[in-house]
Amino acid sequence: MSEVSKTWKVIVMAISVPPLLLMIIGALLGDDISNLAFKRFGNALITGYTFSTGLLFINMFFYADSRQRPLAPLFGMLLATIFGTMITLWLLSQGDLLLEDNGSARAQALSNIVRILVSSLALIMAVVVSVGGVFVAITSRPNRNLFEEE
Amino acid sequence: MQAALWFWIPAISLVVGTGTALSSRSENIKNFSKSIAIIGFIFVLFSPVTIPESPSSAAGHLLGSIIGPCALLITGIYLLAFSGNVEVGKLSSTDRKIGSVCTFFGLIWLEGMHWWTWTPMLDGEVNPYWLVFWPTFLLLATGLSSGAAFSLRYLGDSRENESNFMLVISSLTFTLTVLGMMLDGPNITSETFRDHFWLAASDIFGLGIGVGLSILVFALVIWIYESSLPPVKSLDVPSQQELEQAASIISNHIGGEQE
Repeated sequence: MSEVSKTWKVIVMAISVPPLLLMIIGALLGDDISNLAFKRFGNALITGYTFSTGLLFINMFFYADSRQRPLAPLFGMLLATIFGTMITLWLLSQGDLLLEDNGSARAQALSNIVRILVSSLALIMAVVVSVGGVFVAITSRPNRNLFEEE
Repeated sequence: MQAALWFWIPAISLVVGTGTALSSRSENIKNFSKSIAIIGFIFVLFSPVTIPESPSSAAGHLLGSIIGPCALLITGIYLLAFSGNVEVGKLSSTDRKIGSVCTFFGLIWLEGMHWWTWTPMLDGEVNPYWLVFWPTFLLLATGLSSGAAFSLRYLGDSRENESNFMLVISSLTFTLTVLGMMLDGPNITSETFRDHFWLAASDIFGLGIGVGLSILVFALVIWIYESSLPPVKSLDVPSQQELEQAASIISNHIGGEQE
């Protein structure tokens, strides 16, 4: 295994191990919310896919700008977005399968969208703290001598 | 109808405006998108006043509640980073002190929302979206700070001190999460926090897979389109005369003067 691949494995583990440890601690404290967690996972997956394909569809307009405005990729992403929306609505209308505290599929879909915005906000703040922290740590240190004076 | 007008249209404007402002190359479109996003943001912020009966307005209420500590934290980190040892655009030592104060109070304010009585409350109950935001933030900050610490250690050169600083941040958010799971706050019990911690973890995994799938579809669409394009017409092999001309131009530009 090359050094680069080893380094990346360590970094991926460093990102995932602390949250996994927290989950183990949560599991040891013994709450059974597996049904709710599954519903939340399913809702997040389908909403994340649909929301993200929608944003990438908008992004495709700018890709088209640099390619003499072809219609095929735009149409492809539009289809992917419509497919995501239809699957989302179909799954949400399957009774209790993905409905959380909401009475209807529409209410659940709207609640999912608001939640994805709030989660994105949490992600942005977490990135600000971690990336900002790195910058603060690096710039707080005095300059290093790269070369010894002769 | 009221919710669509006062919340959903502004929320869509905020998302689409931000996306367009980040993606577009045209300055006019960028400026227009920024204006749309800012107007959308203001409308979403005021949704608890404009449509108090809509459940979606809880998101506007949360935004209004966390905008203060988040702005303090962002400003503080910015001032701290750029008042340090930077070559260009270094801020003054006073800015560094202001940055420290902003970061400290931003963190205290956020902590006070869980451990003290500053929790965002709506109609006498904890704002449901605060219970989404806080565990998600803690979980992601723990993982990302730990990732940053190990990146500095393994990818950087002599960055042990910086790596240790990031490990302290990661340990701090880790400890806060464990404390939240074990101890009751004035408005949020440990059981409620644990429940929402699991939901936040499910949310992050689901979003990660969903967003990953959409990026895969995006790449697939572009790949199919690009591979359907006719091959670029290749040029003819250069003639002997063209090769000789190229050789003479190259020989005129290499060698240099003898010192």
